[in-house]
Amino acid sequence: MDEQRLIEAASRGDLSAFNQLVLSYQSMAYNLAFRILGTGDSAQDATQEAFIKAYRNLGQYRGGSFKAWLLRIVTNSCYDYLRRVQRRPASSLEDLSTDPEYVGQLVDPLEAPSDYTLRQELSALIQQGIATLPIEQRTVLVLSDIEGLSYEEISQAMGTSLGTVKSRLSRARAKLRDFLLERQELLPSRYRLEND
Amino acid sequence: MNYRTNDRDQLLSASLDGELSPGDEARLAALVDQDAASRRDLQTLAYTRQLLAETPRVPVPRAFTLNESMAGVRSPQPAGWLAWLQPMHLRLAAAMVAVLLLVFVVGDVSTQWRLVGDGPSSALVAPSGGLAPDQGDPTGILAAKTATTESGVQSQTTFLSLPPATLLALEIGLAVLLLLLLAASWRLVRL
Repeated sequence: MDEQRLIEAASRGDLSAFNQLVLSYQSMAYNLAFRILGTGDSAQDATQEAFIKAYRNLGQYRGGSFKAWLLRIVTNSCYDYLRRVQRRPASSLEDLSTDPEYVGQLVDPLEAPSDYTLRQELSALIQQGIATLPIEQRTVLVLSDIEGLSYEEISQAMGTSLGTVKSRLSRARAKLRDFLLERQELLPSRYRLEND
Repeated sequence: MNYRTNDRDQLLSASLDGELSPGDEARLAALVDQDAASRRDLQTLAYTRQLLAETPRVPVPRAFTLNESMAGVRSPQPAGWLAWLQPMHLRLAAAMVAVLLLVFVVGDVSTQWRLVGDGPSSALVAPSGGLAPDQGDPTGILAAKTATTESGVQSQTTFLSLPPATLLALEIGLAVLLLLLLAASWRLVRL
């Protein structure tokens, strides 16, 4: 796939070209939204909204990492979603982070049932830990340690300086570490940290 | 080593990503060598990072591709040399073809009408079937008259001296072209 040509065609209004870009990045976008928001429904809404915004604002893309540009839109869509939820007293952010449907989505048919169960437990606990972080730290942690973006890409995706990225990532990792160490007994034995 | 906690944590964290300068790497090496707490923190941070890396990806529940309604557009714009084409251009071309068609049809009909109106008595003898000098037809459009030749054969001439079959084909062709242009223009507007 020639991404640059697809971007150029999409900029001229070629929806089919844009949809090829969507298919390439939808997993990354959805996973980022899911880790930030914590529920499938909200992640779907934010992801779809992000792709619509991206299509309508392609003219503002000025080159560079398309992935970082797109993930910035996804991140902003998630923040918008959270702001909307905060304005509505009926549902709270706590509800977002404890949605049990999360576990049900981690199905990998190729994985052995025992391994699947272990990873499911690990994922559930990590998601709980991520949900305790402030939103900016949550975002930088997911972009770095789950999506594997470089500091430079994270800086572009979040519209912040490299120093801020390093600082937030450091704090996020430290907080998540403390969260997990306090709950070692909840981790599957394979994932427990061995004492010195 | 006299690091503030935040600075120290940043140093440890950045080392996991290979983002340290040579100077910072030296400082980190000295730090973990001398400070057991820093050594343990580096170990637990690396452990946390490894756990995150092993977290399975969430399967995408559906495709997030856009349809035209979601995108707020009607259709893609034509690319390449067709990109300049606008409904206005097609309408202009259609108008020109329509005028041309009108000229041909009116000219053809008026020529036929004159022939009928003049009748054989007013027919002029034209040696080569061209315009008679006294007809006063400066445009040369109405060059044709039914002329009776010496042999008594009546030769029919038409609008612009074109053979009737050619004239008919031209008129039909222009009409078809006009329809095609109008249809294309309508289609572009609908897009």
